[in-house]
Amino acid sequence: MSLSRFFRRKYWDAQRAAELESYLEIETDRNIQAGMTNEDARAAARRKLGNMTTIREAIYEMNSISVLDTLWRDLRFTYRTLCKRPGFTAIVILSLALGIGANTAIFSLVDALLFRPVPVPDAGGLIAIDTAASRLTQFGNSSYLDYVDFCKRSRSFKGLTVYQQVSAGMNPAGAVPDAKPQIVYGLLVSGNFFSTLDVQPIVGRAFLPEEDRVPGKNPVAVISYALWKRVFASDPNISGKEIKLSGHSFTIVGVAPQSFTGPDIYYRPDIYVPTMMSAMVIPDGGEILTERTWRGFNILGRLKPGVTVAQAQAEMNVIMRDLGREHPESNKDTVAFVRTEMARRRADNDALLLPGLLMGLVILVLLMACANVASLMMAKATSRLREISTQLAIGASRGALIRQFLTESAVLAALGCAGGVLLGGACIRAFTAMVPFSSQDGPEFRLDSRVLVYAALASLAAVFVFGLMPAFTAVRDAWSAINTRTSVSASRSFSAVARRVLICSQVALSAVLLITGGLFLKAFVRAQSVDLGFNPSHLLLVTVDPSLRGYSNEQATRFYQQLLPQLAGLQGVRSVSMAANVPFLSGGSWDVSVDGYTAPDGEKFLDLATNQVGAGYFATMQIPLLRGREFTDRDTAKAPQVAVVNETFARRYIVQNGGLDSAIGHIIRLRGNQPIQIVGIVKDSTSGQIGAPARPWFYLADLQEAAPRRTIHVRTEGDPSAIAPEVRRRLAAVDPEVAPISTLTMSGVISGRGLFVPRIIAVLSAAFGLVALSLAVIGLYGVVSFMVGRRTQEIGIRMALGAQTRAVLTMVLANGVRLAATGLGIGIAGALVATPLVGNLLVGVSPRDPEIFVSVACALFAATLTASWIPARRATRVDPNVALRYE
Amino acid sequence: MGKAGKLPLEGEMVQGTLDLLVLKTLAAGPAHGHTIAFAIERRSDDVLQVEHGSLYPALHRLEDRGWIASFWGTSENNRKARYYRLTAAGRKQLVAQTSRWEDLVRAIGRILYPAAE
Repeated sequence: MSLSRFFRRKYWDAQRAAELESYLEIETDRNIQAGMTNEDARAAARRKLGNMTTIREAIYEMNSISVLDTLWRDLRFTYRTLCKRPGFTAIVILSLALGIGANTAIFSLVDALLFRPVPVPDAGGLIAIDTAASRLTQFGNSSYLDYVDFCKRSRSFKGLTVYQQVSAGMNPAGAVPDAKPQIVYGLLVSGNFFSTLDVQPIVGRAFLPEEDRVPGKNPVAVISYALWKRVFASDPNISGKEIKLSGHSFTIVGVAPQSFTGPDIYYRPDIYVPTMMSAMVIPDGGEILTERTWRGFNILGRLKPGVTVAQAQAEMNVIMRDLGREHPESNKDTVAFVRTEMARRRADNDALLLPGLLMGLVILVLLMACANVASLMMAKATSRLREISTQLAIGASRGALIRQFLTESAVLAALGCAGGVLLGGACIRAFTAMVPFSSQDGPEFRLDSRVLVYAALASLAAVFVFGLMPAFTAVRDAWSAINTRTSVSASRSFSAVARRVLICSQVALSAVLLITGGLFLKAFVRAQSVDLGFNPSHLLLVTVDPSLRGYSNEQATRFYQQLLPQLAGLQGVRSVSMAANVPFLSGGSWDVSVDGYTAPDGEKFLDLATNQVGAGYFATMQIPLLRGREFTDRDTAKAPQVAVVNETFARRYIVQNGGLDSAIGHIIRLRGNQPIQIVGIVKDSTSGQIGAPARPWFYLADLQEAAPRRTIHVRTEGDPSAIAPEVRRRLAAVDPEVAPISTLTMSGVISGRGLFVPRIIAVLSAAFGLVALSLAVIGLYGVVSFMVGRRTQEIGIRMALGAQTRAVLTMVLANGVRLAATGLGIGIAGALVATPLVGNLLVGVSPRDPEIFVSVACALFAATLTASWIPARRATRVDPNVALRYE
Repeated sequence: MGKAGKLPLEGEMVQGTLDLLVLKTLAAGPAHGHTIAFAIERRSDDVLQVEHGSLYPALHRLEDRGWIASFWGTSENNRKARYYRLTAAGRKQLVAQTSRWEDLVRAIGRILYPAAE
């Protein structure tokens, strides 16, 4: 039997009908020749042929494939049953859509972080090399000279390429006359970058090897497809055109293909420049190629055919040992990690914690949804017990009945999956809007084929979880019902037991989800009201970088000296200052030694957080000064170098138990070893992680120690964003080409960046908890109502024999409460074990916070009590007369 | 549920016989359903009456197996009719089935007339 015949049954039937018709005509003709009348001839022919329909049916049957036929029959049957119960169908599909939608959305995050390959050909063969400070660190960038040595000494690699993130001011006027200067984010790359990654430019060419040999010699650039489209209007003749980067002329030689968005998942560069041009693009950029202590480069490569990762690792171990001997001041004890790019991503446990937590939560939500659907299906199946028994009695096989149930589950799962993918797609769009990253930064969430496969697998698993159990229990119950010829007792039947197990696990799961949600919600609320150590309201942050325009450090200083007094004079401005870093946005740590202090490990230098700030910074931030003074305009490059430290710094490294006063005048030193005198002590303030304990912190005067990029802090009387346009105008008046990199308010930064992770976890986990709670309540309500329905007769008899309303109420309620209490107990025990696993993400709240545990237990118990009280109340209204005549 | 499975033995014998007769008839040249039935009845001196309820399904089955092929043509008295012809596979099948039939007849004969041995 061929498939084409099966699908063309209609056609073949028509063919046969025509053939039989032609037979009739031929026979009729013959009969007429034999002397019959027209009608007799026709009738005789028909008689001779027999029943035409029977013949056609026989042939039609031959063209059937029984599996497909029965499938079709089951589908039509399912369609009819589902249409008959629109409410049931809607609840089931909605539950599944919620579960699968949440899973799809969260998996898209996991996919972006852990599964999506880098967009280059044969991404699986891409090897990453890290040079870490120790075996434990596992991650670390390399210096350019390390890279050069790796290339010279290793034999395992077909090619090694190096790159480093860079930003620059771009003036595209040479290529597009009316375009404005703007900031571009890009990569400094070695000459073999594109050839090593196997990426072919779609316009022009990649870099030539000789373009990356001599510092400053070849000002060439390759641009991204996105930049080509956005700024250069997809100009096909872009090659050879000139643009300015940080004030220096560069020639565009090629455009990267659209698919290539850079070698990192978190960063999508718009421009690629040879490493040898670093001095033209960033201030002091020449040093990054010559200093072994400058570790800013990432290394990627491909192995030679036949070489394994382990062999390459062994070779790199030898090279690192040699380098440690040759350059002890920079390379002592450093180790190399050779991994595939994918393995490197997955080795980062800290980055896995958040997606892991969310994934765990959504899987629990899906399980809840499945349990809910399963118990709904069982209730429906039990109400169809008689129908199923009849089907079994007249000879339907048990397999056929189970198949029918599974078809129903599969149809529901397919619809739920479709709904879930739509919902998940909407969530992914919402995520993208919520994530505080630019178009260049941060992972890209997409509904790609891996995410769809995951959604399909989740749905398939759901069919088995929620479909198989009701199918088996229903058929088993029906089977025993016929065999024992008595109605199965409502509480003993197999499916009744299964439903109670299901409802217990639902309550348990929702307890776990609610407790998790509660803990994260509490952490989030706490994070909002945490004292940051400075006043975040009415603070405008304008980040500028005159070096993007090619300014030297001295020119930048003059620029700021011109600009700041103008801003301070604006109406509605209380004070103005500057800093190199802003809490929650950026930060840095430098090696520093404190005279008279040696760390327990004997090390003189400590790696401590620092910021380089301007005169009046602490007054503007409203960070209280505890002792001494803060920086002033007189702390210039020519004056003696001074520092301000926070209280933790002073107490931990200088005064230990004494008074803070003795820290004033103490000397600290950077690697350069010149003395820096502490002139002030300020109160601790946050470093950028809300709720984290205070860290030792030292501040240096920005005129004495800072790069040109600064953030201007403007403390305003009223709404800080209202004053932003005026600030921009003043900025443009000083130099129209120095555009602000960003204009933000401090409260916006805290809400967007500082509170982002606590908020997203709190919102998602609380939402999952609420979904779980409502599913559990619906489930419990269903089970108890069903129980009441089945025991109507019994309740009627009890009432007829004189049972009090209260006794009946208690009896029914006890059933529901027992289930809820069991589930709650299991859930709380589970949560006690599980929540410490995510303790690292719970800032400021204990993972076993008693307040949350108790309130969730109370709330859940109250909800389940209500869910069983409503049907229990109905049971007391049973009229004994009606009940006794029931059945 | 569709009833899948083997037909009873006697049905199979009759069916197989009809297949053989159709193949043999078509060996002489293409013919349409009416002619095939007519020819079988005539050649057997009307001993074998062709059940049309079986003939057309049989034709369908043989075509499905690739032993015969069909096309629309015009009958002797200018009616549109579906003609069948023997394929190469059908010709082989005819030889095989004929010898099987002869074996069967000999075997039955040995049982019915043991004295002839």
